[in-house]
Amino acid sequence: MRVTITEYLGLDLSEERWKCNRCGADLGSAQEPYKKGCLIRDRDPHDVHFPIGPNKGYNFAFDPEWVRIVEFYCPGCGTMLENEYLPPGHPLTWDIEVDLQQLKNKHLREDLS
Amino acid sequence: MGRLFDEKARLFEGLVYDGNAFGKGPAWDPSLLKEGPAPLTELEREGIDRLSDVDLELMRHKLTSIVEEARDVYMSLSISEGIITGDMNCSIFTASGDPAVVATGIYFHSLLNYTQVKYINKYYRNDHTVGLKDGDIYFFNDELGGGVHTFDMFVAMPIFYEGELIAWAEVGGHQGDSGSVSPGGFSPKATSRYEEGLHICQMRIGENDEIRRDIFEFMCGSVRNPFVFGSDLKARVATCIRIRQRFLREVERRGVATTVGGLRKILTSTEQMARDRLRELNDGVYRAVLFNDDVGREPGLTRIPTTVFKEGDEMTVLVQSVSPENFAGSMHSTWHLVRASLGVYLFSYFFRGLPPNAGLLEPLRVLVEGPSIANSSAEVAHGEGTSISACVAQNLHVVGSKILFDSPYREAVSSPHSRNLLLYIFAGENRRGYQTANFTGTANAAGQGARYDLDGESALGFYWGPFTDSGEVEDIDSRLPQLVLGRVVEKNNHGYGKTRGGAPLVEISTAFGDRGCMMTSRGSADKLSHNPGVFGGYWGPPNPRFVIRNTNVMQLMAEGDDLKFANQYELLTERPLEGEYLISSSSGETQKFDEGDIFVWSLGGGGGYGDVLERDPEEVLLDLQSGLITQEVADKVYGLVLDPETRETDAEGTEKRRGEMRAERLRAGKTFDEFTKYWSKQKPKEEILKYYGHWPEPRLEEYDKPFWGQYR
Amino acid sequence: MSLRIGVDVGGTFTDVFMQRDDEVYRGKSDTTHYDLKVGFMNAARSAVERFGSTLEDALRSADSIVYSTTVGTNALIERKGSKLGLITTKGFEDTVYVGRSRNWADGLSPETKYDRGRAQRPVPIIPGERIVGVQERIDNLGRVVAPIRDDDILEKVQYLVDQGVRGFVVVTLNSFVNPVHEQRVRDVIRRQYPESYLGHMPVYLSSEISPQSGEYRRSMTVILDAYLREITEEHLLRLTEDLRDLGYHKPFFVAKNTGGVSSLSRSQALHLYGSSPSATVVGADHLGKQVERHNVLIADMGGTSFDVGLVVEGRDRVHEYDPIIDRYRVQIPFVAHWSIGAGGGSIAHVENGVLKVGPESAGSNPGPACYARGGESPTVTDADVVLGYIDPGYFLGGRIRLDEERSRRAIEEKVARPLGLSIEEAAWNIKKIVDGFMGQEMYRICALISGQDPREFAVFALGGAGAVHATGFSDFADVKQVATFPFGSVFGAFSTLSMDILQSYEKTAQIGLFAWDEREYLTDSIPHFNEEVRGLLEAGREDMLEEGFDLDTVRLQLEVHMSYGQQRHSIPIIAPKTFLETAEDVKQLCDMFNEAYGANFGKGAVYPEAGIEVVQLRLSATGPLPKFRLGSHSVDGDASGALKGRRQVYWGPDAGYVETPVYQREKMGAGAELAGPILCESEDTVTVVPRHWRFRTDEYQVGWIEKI
Repeated sequence: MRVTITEYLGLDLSEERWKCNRCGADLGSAQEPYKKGCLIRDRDPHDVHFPIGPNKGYNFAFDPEWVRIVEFYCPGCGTMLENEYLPPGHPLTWDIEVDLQQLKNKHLREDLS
Repeated sequence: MGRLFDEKARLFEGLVYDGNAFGKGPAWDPSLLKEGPAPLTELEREGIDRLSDVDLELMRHKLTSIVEEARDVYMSLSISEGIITGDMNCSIFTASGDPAVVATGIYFHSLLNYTQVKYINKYYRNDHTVGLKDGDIYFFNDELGGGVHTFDMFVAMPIFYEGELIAWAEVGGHQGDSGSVSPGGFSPKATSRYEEGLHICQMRIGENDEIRRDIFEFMCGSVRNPFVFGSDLKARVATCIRIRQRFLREVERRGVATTVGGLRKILTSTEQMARDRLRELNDGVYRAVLFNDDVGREPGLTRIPTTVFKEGDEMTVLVQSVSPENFAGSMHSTWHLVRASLGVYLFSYFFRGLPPNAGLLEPLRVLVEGPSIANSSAEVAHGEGTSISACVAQNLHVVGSKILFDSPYREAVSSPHSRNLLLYIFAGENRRGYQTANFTGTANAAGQGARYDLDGESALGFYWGPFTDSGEVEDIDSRLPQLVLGRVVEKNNHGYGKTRGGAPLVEISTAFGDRGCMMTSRGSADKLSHNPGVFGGYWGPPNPRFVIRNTNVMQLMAEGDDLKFANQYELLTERPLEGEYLISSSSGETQKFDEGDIFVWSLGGGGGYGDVLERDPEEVLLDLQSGLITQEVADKVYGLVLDPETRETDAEGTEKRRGEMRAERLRAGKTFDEFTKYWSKQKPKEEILKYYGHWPEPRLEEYDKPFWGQYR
Repeated sequence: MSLRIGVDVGGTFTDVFMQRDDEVYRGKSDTTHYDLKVGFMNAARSAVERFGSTLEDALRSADSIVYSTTVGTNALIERKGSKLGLITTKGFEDTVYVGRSRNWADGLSPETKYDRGRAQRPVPIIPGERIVGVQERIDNLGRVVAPIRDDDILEKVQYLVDQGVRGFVVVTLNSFVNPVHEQRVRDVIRRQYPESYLGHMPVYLSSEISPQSGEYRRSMTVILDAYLREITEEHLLRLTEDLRDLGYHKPFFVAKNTGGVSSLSRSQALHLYGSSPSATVVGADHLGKQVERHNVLIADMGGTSFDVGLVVEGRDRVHEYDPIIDRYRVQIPFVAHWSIGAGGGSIAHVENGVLKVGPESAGSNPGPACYARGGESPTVTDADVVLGYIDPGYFLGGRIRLDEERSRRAIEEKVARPLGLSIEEAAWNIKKIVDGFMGQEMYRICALISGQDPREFAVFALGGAGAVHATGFSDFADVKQVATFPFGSVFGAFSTLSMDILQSYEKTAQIGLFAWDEREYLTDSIPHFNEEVRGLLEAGREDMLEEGFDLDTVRLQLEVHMSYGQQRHSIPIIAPKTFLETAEDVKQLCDMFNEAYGANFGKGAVYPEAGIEVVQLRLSATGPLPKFRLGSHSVDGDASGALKGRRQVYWGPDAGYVETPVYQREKMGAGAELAGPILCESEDTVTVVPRHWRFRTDEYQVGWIEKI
């Protein structure tokens, strides 16, 4: 059975795999980070936050030497499932590691009641 | 605490996690900071047994109404800006010093500034040189004793009944100047504790309900604003006396055991509610990380990660592999400050609907690595420690939203409130002849983070305080030395997303009069941000310090010319004023400014929620029309297409453009392996890593895994 | 013969109170929101029928009508006011939208005003596209820093006209100190759109309507006043015309939330908002003086609301420190009252194993379960029925039959069973919770506002449910004395006949009286002080003349609001003299302030070294009107004739159900005294008197419930 974990992330409990909530694309094993199943792009923050004023270091937009936007896309529909703002090269965040057994038990209890 | 934690976590040796990184000192005892509630006394047990559920509800309401009355009294007696805007609290503690009921503007005050009372109980009460009796007045403002920083000041008075200590009353909050190296209390450039002014861990300053004159004069003489300080100190005492009066009347009516038992039971019953709530949420391990860009004296990248282990009816919050502490500034938090800061998120969102009191944190274990910028030692400067503890709270907010989405509490899912701190503290003589040093109410107009089903509200209070108010400009005119020229909701200053973050209010003012004024600024998030989005929402952007020196604004105004700027965006892009445009780090030393020098500041916009390509085109158009975004953002970020003639949304065109943007994502996106191979070769410049610790994991000399925090 | 008519249009009912010589008559009807006049006429008719007259005859002979209306409340809720434009200082166009970053919470109940995560601002009265800024700036000392330009004004006005506005609100910064720029805007508009031509639009200047500091509050005060003006005027003019057609040509007064009345032509629309609860406070003060109670806690508990008011030291002018109308902060001298609960219709439910009562209400539709109108949730009224306080066959004099079985079922299902209690115990707990919360709130408000101990106060229990719960909540409020009145359920209408003609004038005036560095009383301030007072007096003279009084026949009161140094909160001091002349006069004011401050906050808080300032002046001019006085009756002390029966009443888990005597209120003479437990029923309420309390009627037929 499919449960919704977040806005874009679903989890197939029997398969134990992440799924995209928008198109159903498979995003890998739920024992692993869903980000492994995504297409990933890092961007110059100025592509999104347009600098204001002429100052290179301080311009109300992120300093590209300090921050890159790392975007995670569903390989099926291209929806941006999540993003991170990280210094260049900083390891990614494994943000959600659900306890599959507990989740299964919870839905089993709900089904029975 | 739990199987998940045991399986997945590995704490580093030689570092402290489960308490403060400093040991017992001349006036402080950190073991008191993590003690937890004292064991039940006989009197409390007797009272609890007598209380039915209904009685307890009524008692809770009654005791809460006593501190709420006190809060209104305190706020109306105070002069200090911080108090009036809600950065304060009024509490009643149990006799043993546990906070039972609190009326506050800032939730972390419910979880701090009670251990000093425990210290008094433990070390002074039975010491013949100090003792404790009815009418004693105690003062404290030190962070090591259990406070936040020296400019948050408190008064506590014991409550006796028939010779027995039965409770404590406490009142205090953000006072301001503490005689530190910069006026107004904040000292962003302080590099040690000894530049941060008066440090009083807990001291008796009065007896028989009166402050001793010699101590009063000593304290007033140590700060830059003696009359404000003195008046507010008396206000705190008057308010404590009011609390005592009401509490004792309740004791007369209900009996001492019942009242005291009720006070205690309030703590324990809330804990149970928190556990019940936690049990309903999915177990798992959740992570978020934030970075800071300034240490105080200079820019520098530092890291604050957070890992949360949610299991059954308990939760562990772990802050590990944090950048080390330094002597280059005051951005150092303490273990107890991190714990208390979590309250700001937990009370308003995670435990929304439950009574906001210390009992809610009992099912949490808070582990903060130290010594580090998050859990620092005694000697460093601590004034800006809230910058670091706020990062942990923001991380928890992001994590909390990820946990709560699949739960009955989805209404609490959102991006965090803006925390990109920038405060301008103005000092000088105001136009009515009073000396003044303060920030303005614009501090209370930050942007709210986007909600899962609603945009974030613009200009919605201070990060820490849900009850704050940004006041009126005419009030600023009569109290502060500068002249405000505009207060507007800012453009391109929020996180874009399916639902967008709220924008802040930006305040544009000029130094005014031939004496001008002094200004000190503090803050961070100038090159990066502390306003994350969730589920693909873009972040609220950084807001550095912005002043313009030597403008022609006075001349333009005198001649009746139009000042051709509506907001910060137009000031910067169109440059309608002559002068020197200076944008720099938020953390600034005190400087003198003259008439015609312009100040521009705001508290930042909240992060967005969800993929921008899912935002309703009509909403994007509204954002554009109401001046929240520029055309460029509507085009390039949201993919909005408008009918060239009617200027209304072209739904089909927009869908097509968005389809193209999604295709571009798929084309440009790399697979995980491809990406990590490329990404692991990137690294920030050496000079910004001066205060970071080891790259990328501050505590490990080497680390090459694709995900951070994997220490097993 | 004299006949005065007081009318109170409420959300559910329209009440009429007629004073005909020494007799009083009541009338009640449903409020007809589609046309408020209809309900008024119906209620008036039901009153005149009691003395055997017709509506037309009564109107022809009536001396005055005082009218308290909800037309403003309805207009705000339904957003039916005028289409306005706002002209303000450039750079501050977002002031009303942002609302001090706090308007998302203003006016919300205590349960929701802290829920920041779900904050939502109210829909603006004037949206952004009808707000323009003109380049100008005046500082707090009144100096012009940037002059205003006619061409700029014209351009902005033209834009607003193109947006279709029907009136202009003008608010420039610091206009209360120097109004020249606002006046200039008006001049330009009038030149462009002369008053004598068609399409003329009203211009509202904030410096005239509310010359006080605080541009957000001032803006909202003027905006709301302007917004409600047309619809209020229309309603009142039509009503007075209809009354004239029916033969009424005498004065028509409107009741105001400032605690007085005035003629139509001397009244501001915003002052009519929420006039009823404010009038109630004045009525309580008036009666309080007669029964020698100068400290009164007013508790008005109806089916859908619980309102609290205060009379302190015989002064009903307890003004709300930070008045809020609907969801907006304003600056009018509003007689304070607090809405603290949802009354008899509050719904009891169990949440996380804890019994809660309210804030949700069953209202009057569907109403309590016992109304049998489809309501399934147990309410406070249902608990009262189960406990035996309310006789299901005699509710509202028998007008509505209640179904006790439904009450029992609702309580059993939603409260008793989840908590493992009997139905009676559950009902008892419901009553205890609502009495406790309400009483403790009353305590807090009383203590905070008066600075005194509530033990010094008497409670006046009003509204349909007031007397039922009075001993309950009064006990929690630490009050031992409760007064109930035969006309307690139409107290709002009665109160309109206890008010005088009143006009109030407020002005921010920042005047130093005592300097901290020189330790000196500032006689230099005297001319400025006097000039401000003179200005207020002039405005008063004009208004009172219109009402038929000159300044010698009215009662004038000058309140000087003072504070230490730059303190934000001020205390009102009633000035012993209107004008200051000498340093002694200045010192006298300062001494009075120090004393009042010390009395409220403790001597240790007094701190004149910080300097003493005047921050605001408030002048009230009162033109006395004849008022209803309670008639004295001969005391016979015999209540036996009033005994109507006995029934089973639950007096708590220890006592259980007890056979309790029931008396008919109207049959009790003056001077009767009965010890509880008893019930005393009347057409519109039940007075519940438990053990340890007694019920006593005095010479005025006021029913006192007193703790023994």
